[in-house]
Amino acid sequence: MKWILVTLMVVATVLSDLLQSYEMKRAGEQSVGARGFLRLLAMIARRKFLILAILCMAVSFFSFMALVQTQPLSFAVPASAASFILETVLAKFVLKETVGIKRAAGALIVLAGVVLLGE
Amino acid sequence: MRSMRILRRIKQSACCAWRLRGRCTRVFGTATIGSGQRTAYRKMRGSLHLRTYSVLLLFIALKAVGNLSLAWGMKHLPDAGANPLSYIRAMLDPFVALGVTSLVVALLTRMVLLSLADLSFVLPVTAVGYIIAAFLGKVVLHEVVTNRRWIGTILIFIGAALVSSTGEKSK
Repeated sequence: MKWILVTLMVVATVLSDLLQSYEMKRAGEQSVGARGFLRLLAMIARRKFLILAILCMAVSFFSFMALVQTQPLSFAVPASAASFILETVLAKFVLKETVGIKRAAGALIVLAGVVLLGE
Repeated sequence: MRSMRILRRIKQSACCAWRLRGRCTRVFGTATIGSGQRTAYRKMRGSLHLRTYSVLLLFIALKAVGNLSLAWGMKHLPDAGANPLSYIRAMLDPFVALGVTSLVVALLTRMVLLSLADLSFVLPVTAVGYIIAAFLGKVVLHEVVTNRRWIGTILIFIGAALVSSTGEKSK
């Protein structure tokens, strides 16, 4: 059960980040200010992926809440770092970014840590 | 490049929110510094370091308190299951509410922090939060943290710091 929640949390977090980044790039640069903020809200309402991103954020937060309810805090918070692994994998294979050796090593070390967390 | 621009926007918005525009332009818009202002800028830099570290400490503390309070509150509630409504109802619990509020304020503090320092500095340093969470779990919530779990947590800290320190190149 705990791994299902961890997976749900991590996938929702990464998906939310990806959708946000994709949709914000399509929307172009946003201005921030009193009027710009209102326009930003209107823009969010019009973009389906952004609403989806916010939904993902909610899913991720709710699964974190469920996780801390049943699992120790010393498991839940470090386990959320698993998002680094998924992000690195997606960056390499989906976004075709160049993943440096330092980054790949970091993701592997996080993976080892997460495996050690859940005995 | 674009992500840098967006980051800049976040920086600017955070500055506006804190009404520190004058200070921020001096720090970020280095091109706007005249030779006369340069000495004033140098004097300010010391206090800016202090500011950065204060905001950094505030962020780490808020995040820790938020997680702890959220965990404490949730553990004393009946099992919420898969119904999203029960999570919204859970937020009425004072400890959960305090936790959620702290986490939201922590998010805003992080934006301010990003206006003062690079992401590639902020991310690795705040990875220490994983260790703090394990420590608070043990001391406050009396959780059993085995040696294996400590090693796992420390590995996650090192790995997260490594991954994030290679992020954006600054300008």
